[in-house]
Amino acid sequence: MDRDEIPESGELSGETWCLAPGRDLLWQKWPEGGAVFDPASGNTQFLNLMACVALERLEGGPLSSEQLKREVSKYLDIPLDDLLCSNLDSLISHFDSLGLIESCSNPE
Amino acid sequence: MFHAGPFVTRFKTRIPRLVSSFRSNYTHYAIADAAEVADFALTVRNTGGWRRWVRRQSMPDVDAPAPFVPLPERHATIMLEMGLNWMVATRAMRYLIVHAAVVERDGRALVIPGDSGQGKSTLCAALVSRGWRLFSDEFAFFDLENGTVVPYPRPISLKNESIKVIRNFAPELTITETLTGTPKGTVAYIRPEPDWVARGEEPAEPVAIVTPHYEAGARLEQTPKIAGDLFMELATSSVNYDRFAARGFEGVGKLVAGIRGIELHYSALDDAIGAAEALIR
Repeated sequence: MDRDEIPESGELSGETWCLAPGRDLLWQKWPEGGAVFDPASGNTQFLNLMACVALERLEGGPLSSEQLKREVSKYLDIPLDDLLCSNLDSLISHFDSLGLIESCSNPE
Repeated sequence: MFHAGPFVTRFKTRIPRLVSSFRSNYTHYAIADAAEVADFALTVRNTGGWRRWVRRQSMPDVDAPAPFVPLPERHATIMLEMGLNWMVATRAMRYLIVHAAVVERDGRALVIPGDSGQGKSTLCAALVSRGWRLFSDEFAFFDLENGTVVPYPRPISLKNESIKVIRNFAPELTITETLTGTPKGTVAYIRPEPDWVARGEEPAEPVAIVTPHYEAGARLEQTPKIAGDLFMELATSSVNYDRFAARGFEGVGKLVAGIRGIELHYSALDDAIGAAEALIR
């Protein structure tokens, strides 16, 4: 599959995501992953490498889910396939449920 | 009132059996001056009602609601130890407290986390019988200001099979009393040695974490742990990590950056001791 061709994904497709307001995350990073502390909630999350890369990218600024998938694929040098897209969709939902990120697609 | 590690505890009881047990287990502890302020105040008393006359029970009184159920008076020592554990875990907030045994040698501390029954206290007792200094068999107290671990030596609690194992392995340790029929089976206490108690305010640098897994007949197997796993182990085994918020996060990060860690599967205590000694060199 071409690196730029993103498989059809679920309801997250097309959404743009950004770090939730007021999140000033603290990081511990290791070769295998990391931990992030959210001062707003007081919670610590342990992240695998893919989750670290994804959250760091979103910390850098808003990204559509497609952009995020491309960036993670490129950074980790792994194929942009169904598995990666599905994992990242789950990850985005998880970050959203933790309040770390939010959709900034349709500011109505 | 008595000194144990960095804490002064005011302890009261009128239960003769517990007075005798306390004198035996805490015989080497320094009595605090009457003018000193106690960090904790604990009373172990008999429960009221008809239990004052028939099958007496004992309970810790910690001046706050606490999750204790009464035990028979003959198990009052357990109430004392549980009461002390509860007080330090809920009130010693200047330290990051992790559920782990800690022993020290040459200023280097070995942290031994583990759930009940995993062999934490057994390995701790084995190590102190071979020249290591007891810091605690229950809690690691990390001072996040300077990255040290602080001793809090108290009687080592052994349970069930481990009592016989340690009696055979280290007959020189003093097992002061053995309580049968407790909610955790048979429980025995090892009296802390005078040197461990006297050096109760002498901290050490934490250099290694060993997570023990005793399995009968198992060959020695050591699996290195990565920093992320060590961070998770300390944070999730801590009773007050959340209270430190960002300081706890940064502090644990610094701790694991300078610590080696292994999962240790073993059946022979001598093998486990050898692995621990190699780890802190």
